[in-house]
Amino acid sequence: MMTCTCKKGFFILRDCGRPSVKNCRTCQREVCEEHLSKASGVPECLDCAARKADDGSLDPSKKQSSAEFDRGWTYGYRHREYSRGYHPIYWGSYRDPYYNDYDFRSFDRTGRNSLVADDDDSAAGFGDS
Amino acid sequence: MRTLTPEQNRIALEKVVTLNRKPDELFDLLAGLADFDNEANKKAKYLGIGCGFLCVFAVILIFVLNNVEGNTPKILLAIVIIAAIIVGIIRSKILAFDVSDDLRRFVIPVLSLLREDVDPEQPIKLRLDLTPSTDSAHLKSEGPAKGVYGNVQEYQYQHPWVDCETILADGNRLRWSVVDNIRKRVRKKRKSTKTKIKRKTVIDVELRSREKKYGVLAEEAFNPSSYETREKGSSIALRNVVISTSLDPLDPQALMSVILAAYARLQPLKKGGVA
Repeated sequence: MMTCTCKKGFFILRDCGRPSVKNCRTCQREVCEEHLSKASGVPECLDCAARKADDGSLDPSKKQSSAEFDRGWTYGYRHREYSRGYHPIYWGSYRDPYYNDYDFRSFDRTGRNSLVADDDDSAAGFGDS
Repeated sequence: MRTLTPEQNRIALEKVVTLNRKPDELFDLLAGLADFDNEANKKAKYLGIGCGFLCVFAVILIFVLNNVEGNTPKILLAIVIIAAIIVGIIRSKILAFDVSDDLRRFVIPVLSLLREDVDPEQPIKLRLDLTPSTDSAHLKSEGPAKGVYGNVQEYQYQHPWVDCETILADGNRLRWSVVDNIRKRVRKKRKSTKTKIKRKTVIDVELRSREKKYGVLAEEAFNPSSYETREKGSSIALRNVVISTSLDPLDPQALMSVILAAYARLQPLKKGGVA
């Protein structure tokens, strides 16, 4: 069974891993029920919908109901923060080039923007505990 | 109008609550209350207008029907007055359930974002005080304003209204709190009263990272943030102070930007993915 290729999380990106139900019409990735955009009207993942969304739609003062703070809103907010310069930490098992624009930080040395030094000086940056 | 569950009903009446729930349960519980509050506010507004209209109508009736004989005008007047009283009572009963708009405009969106990073089975501990920040219970001091010309009374309030703690999906412990410090100055004149508000909102974020997974980048090695920083070992504490001249709900961005700044200081250390 194919699994969802979307990444969940905000500060830390993780694999979703739920069974996929459809392919996103925009990026063609496998998407589970939770990562399908309800607002799009067509089979589209929340990430693609977030990239198309207007920043003004994220303003909490314009929301009439708590139901509007759904995953669609959350992924829109996430995309905005990543576009403004936050580099999420990647905490998962497989890479998806779809997220390369976000310049994530990784535990894996093969990461595009890994912050891990080659000499693996894991004590670096630690203070007294 | 939607109905509240017994628990939501209790929270709306008591307004101060400590909850320890799974992310989705917590969101659903508070979202139901926030939506009820939103509808109740609109209803209370219309009832207020209706009550005012009935009172004005009653006064007009008193003058117009003063010289009219018979019982009918008196009965009509009595009906209008009773209707105004009933509308006023309904409005005050609805307002008893009124909670701070910070729930709808700050807490709900923040929970919606945080639950993305919290394991569905991991509880979030949340303490909320949904009373107004200028409630007498939060009054710290009052007296004549110093260094101000004229008869100006100054009120100082301190209101710690939200405190949250949870363990995130990567094992890091996140704690944040918001405290409103409000200075209200009231200038009384013969014909009018002017009120001036200055609100200083202190947002504290503490992120305690897992030492085996993360290092903490030195502040100078990272883009210096505008937030006051305190750190000890694997723990980063940041403070953001937001100053405003109104009591409008706080923008969730004021908190999220601080948590993001704390996370930006973390350096992933080890190879591999899931702990």
